Amino acid sequence: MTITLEQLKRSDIFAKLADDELAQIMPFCREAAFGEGDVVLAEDATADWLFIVEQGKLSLEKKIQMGRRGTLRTTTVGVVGPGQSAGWSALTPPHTYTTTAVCLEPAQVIVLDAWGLRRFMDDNPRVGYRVMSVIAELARARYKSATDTLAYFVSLVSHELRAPLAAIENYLNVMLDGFAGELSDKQRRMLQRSVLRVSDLRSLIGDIVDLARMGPEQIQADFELFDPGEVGAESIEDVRLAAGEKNVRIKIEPPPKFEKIVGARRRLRQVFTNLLTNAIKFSPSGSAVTFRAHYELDAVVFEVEDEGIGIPPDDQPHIFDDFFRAENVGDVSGVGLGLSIARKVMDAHSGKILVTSPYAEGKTGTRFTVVIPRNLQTPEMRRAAQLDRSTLPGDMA
Amino acid sequence: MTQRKRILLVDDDHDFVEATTAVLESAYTVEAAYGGNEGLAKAHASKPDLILLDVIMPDEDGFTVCEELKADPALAHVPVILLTSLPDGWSPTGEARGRSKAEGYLEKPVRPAELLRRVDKFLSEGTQDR
Repeated sequence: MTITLEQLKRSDIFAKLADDELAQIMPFCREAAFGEGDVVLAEDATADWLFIVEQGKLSLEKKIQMGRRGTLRTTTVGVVGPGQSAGWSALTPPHTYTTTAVCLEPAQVIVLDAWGLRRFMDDNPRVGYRVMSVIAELARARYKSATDTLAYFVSLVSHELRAPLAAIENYLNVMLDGFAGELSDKQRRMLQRSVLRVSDLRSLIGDIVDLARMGPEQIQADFELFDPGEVGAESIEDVRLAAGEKNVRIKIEPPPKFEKIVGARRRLRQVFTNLLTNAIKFSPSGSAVTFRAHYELDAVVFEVEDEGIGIPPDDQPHIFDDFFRAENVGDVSGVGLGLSIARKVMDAHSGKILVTSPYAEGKTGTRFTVVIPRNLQTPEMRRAAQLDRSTLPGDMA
Repeated sequence: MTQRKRILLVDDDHDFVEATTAVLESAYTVEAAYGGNEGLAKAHASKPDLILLDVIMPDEDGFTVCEELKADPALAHVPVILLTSLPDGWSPTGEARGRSKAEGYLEKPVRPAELLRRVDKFLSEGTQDR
């Protein structure tokens, strides 16, 4: 069966071409039929063909994997119906498909030889330009819808999910601290478990949101002058329940005196809390986690040490990657975002976060070292420095 | 006996108000408002010693309410602590905090001990705690 000009004209990518131009494309086209469940094109395969749907529907799917060892799943990113096309990647380098197209219902499609079409467009740049501008427009629309969905998702997650969790946690804390009457030991224990589970969930949601929109500029905009000792104390308070639950003792070794530093207060609390939470999670019952700090000439250094299972040497280079979880974590909960966020926070501070495991001969355990420079500036200080710069010799910024 | 200090708690989340009131009532007299406009009206009427103000509210948000409070000579001296359950970007730090002129902020969920400590600090010193 031959394909008619009308059939090609009904497609989104060729609608703007003149009849004589379409006639030249015709030789690259053939018709094909697919049954329900057939894979029309596969993600990551070499893209040799472009498809125009005449009848039926294709679902566009992408592989997703949470973490390096997570189960591979697929998610539907769009559905293509009559007049629409699939496999645009065949026209642009590196010519590999970015999604898999699966037939949702019996479909009739036009299959275009992408090599032939590309050669034709090279020889006829005016036609090529028009086809590629339509594809650029379609790609832009798809990209915009994806980013809009992501932005909506992030805003939904950040407020609509966190606010009710915060309200629940408030009630639990108020009850636990005795502001709503006496508690029996059993009630207290159940409330403590509830607080732990709710706060785990809330910080997980926070981590996912952070991952989506935490850039160095956002962290640096929050720089302020603060007492790092207070932040350390708050972090210890954050993990007090979890430590008690696990029967892990927190040994605190502060410097003789804390001096104020500039940094993103909330973010550093997040880093300390995360390191302490990890240390407790991976510590055996009855062991100790040490949280210490000391000042150096140009930096303040915090260390979190545990006597836990340690991190295998092969895994150490990857522990700061998004969604990474070490080989030996077993069934300890987590998604592998805490350390990657900690690294982003420290990068924004021009600081360091280092891991040593094991840190003492003949022992297990992990030491995380956080180095925060002492010469950082708040946004106000940066602005003032910029104003002064004209009067200063050289570049002092 | 000295009179108890009065706190105005402005938040559209009734559950948050109930839980927080239970804590504050141990030491203070608490009045609640469930929206920005109601908060402004009650602040004018009762001239509290301190205002705890939620950031995201359906009618007038906390930043706007705070700006209006600070622009009013009769209320400008009353310390305002902003409350938020939002993660980065929305938290009232940096520019937004500068604009709102709030004296402090607390992140939700608030721990009872921390809440009382911060409130007490403001009420006894009447100065910024950060």
